[in-house]
Amino acid sequence: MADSAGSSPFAKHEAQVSAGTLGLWFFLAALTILFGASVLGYWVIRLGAGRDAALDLPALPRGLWFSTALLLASSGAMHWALTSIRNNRSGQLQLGLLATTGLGLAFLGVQTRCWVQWAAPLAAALSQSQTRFLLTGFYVLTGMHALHVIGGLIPLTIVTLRAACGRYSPSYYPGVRYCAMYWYFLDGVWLVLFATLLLGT
Amino acid sequence: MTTIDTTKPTPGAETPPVDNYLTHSSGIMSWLGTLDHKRIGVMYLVSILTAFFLGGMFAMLVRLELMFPGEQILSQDQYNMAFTLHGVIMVFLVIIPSVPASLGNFVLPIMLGAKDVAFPRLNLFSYYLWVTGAVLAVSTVFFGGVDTGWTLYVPYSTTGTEMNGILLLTFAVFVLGFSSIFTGINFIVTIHRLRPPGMTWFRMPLFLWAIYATGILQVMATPVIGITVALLAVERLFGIGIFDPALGGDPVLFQHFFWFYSHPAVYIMILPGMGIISELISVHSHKHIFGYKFIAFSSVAIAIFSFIVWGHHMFLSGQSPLMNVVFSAITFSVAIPSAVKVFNWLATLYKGSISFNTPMLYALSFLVLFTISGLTGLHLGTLATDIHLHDTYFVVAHFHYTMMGGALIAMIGGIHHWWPKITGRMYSEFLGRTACGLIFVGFNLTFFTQFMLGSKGMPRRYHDYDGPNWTPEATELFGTYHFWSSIGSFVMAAGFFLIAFYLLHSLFRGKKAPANPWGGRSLEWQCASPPPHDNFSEPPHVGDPYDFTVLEWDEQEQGYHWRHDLKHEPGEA
Repeated sequence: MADSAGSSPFAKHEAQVSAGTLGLWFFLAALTILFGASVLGYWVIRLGAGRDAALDLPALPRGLWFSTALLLASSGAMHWALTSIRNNRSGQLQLGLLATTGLGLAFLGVQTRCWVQWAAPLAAALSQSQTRFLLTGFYVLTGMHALHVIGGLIPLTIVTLRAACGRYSPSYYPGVRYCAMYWYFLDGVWLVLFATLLLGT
Repeated sequence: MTTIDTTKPTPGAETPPVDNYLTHSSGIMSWLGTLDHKRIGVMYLVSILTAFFLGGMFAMLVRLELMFPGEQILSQDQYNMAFTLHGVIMVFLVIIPSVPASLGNFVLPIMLGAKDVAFPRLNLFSYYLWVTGAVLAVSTVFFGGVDTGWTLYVPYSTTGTEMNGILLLTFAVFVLGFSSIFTGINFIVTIHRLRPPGMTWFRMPLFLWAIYATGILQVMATPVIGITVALLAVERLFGIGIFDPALGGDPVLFQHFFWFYSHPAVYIMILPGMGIISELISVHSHKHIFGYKFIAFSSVAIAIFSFIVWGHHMFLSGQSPLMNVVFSAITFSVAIPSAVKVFNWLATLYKGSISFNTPMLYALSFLVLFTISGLTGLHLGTLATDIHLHDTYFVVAHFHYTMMGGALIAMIGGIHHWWPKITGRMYSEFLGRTACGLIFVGFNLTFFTQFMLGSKGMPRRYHDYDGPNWTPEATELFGTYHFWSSIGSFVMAAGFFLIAFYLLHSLFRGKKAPANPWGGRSLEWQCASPPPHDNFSEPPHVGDPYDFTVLEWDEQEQGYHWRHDLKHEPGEA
């Protein structure tokens, strides 16, 4: 859904942007199904493992609370960027986007640290039947989310660069808008995943 | 208000050097990097037909092996790989993308009077995702092959030795899934946002309703297969039991996940086909479609139902009896919207002025074959009979009647219907009808015998039916059926080669096609054949897409155009 040049079938920019927004909504709907199915699968396995399975599991890494805070802050920065361009403050737009990207990267860093921290208990637990549960519950869910964060950082970087070149105006900022929608969505997904993991262990 | 200028020749008819999408630019790069939905559609068509050829060859191998009792040309392992690849190619590479991605891409924007789909770049991206997925899927042959059947059931897929093949295939399915999702989103948004003034939802051609319903299914169901194969890959890579019972996993969970996608996928395959049939039957009967709203809403109803019937693939998997009863009951209710369509098509034919053109013959074949497939589906949806028929050739016959007799026949009909529009050439009607007859006879010979095989108890996926485990009577009986089934498949193959021959021949020697050879009223028949780069030089006349009274036959042009005496108001029905 790149900003379109000569190839657009729409006569007006507004129509193209509105179509892009609609398309992104459908894409987010597809991702909702993806994460929804993962969480559902997690619960099927979790409940199948029995009520007491949680006792054998090591506690979740503390770092997850920190990464949650980082991701929330990142969404806050994204929101700041969005309101800035709406009010024609392009300097603050650039700052906001930079902060979003930076906080997103920091989130990934903390997640990586958590994965490494949990590798030891995982190795210890590999002989037990709960292993599959550790793996799906923690590594698959957080890993899939992290992949989507990486997938979001790429267009976010492009938009940040474009903002630095002064490509956006209060009447035309589709890239910022798409990134914001996607970023809020990832934030929401993370909260659900985190809650799932907390409840499950 | 515009009056049709009667002195003006139809675009493309008498002024030869007119620019069209084929001649607009040249060179291989102008195709590979094109954003034109028509060229992308043609590239899809060529690629999908290539995959179809490949999948068909694997089918021929399977049929040759089964033709006589005893091992013929394939070892057991080779046989397993051959039917797996046949299934994978036909399902994931051919039938799922076939109609929307190829014909849909070509026709949909023109039907809307638009210049292109909403996101042309995304469209090209989808195509390359498809190509990547296709290459990955076929390349499994070089990495030990896959022998699990296209369903990738665990524990076959978690315990076999062909590690790399399974991993490659899961990745291929993942990539193809993305292609499918992006195409779906693109078409949904295009239909929402690019309808021309005057074209309300209920003035869209029914093909577009079908594509819309399909798009919703693609977007909502495909992610589930994504996560399923991702988990399968994780399990395979790390040896962690998610699905494999030997490691404490749950194989039925895999089946639930798999069919939650793959049942809706059946409708991703058949709905666009039904959309094509609505067009073919109405246009070639020269009669207004009967029950427009019922056909439109039945597409949506089928799309919704398709999400809540997946358990009928798993009656014998140890699912709870209550679930079985519920799934069985819901499965029966799918018959309602399907039959609504069939009866509306029949009512459209009634007292129509039917032209038995090649596309119409395919539409009529579809009606027969799809009805058989639907009615035999009832035997499988009934719990008691399913216990007997489960995993026999009855199931194979049933879904081939649906997927091939339904979806694929509709697609071939659609190719013949829009061929003059796509290429600007007419094919040989005589050869077209002959090939259709060959395919119809060959198809029934191949698969009707398999209904009988199945009800006599021949299990599917078996490499052989000879040896100490079979009674001589069984071997003889199954041998007879298998022999005729194989003969039928050769007849069918002859039909397909004939099609390939005359369609290719028409590209070089075919008569020039008029803008509207069949008398279609939807917008694609109002632009030249082949369409110009931007589709329409002037805005087309939007109206009731099935009101054929506004057209008349022109002997000289060998096509239809607007009636001379007609004043036309844009947007008027």
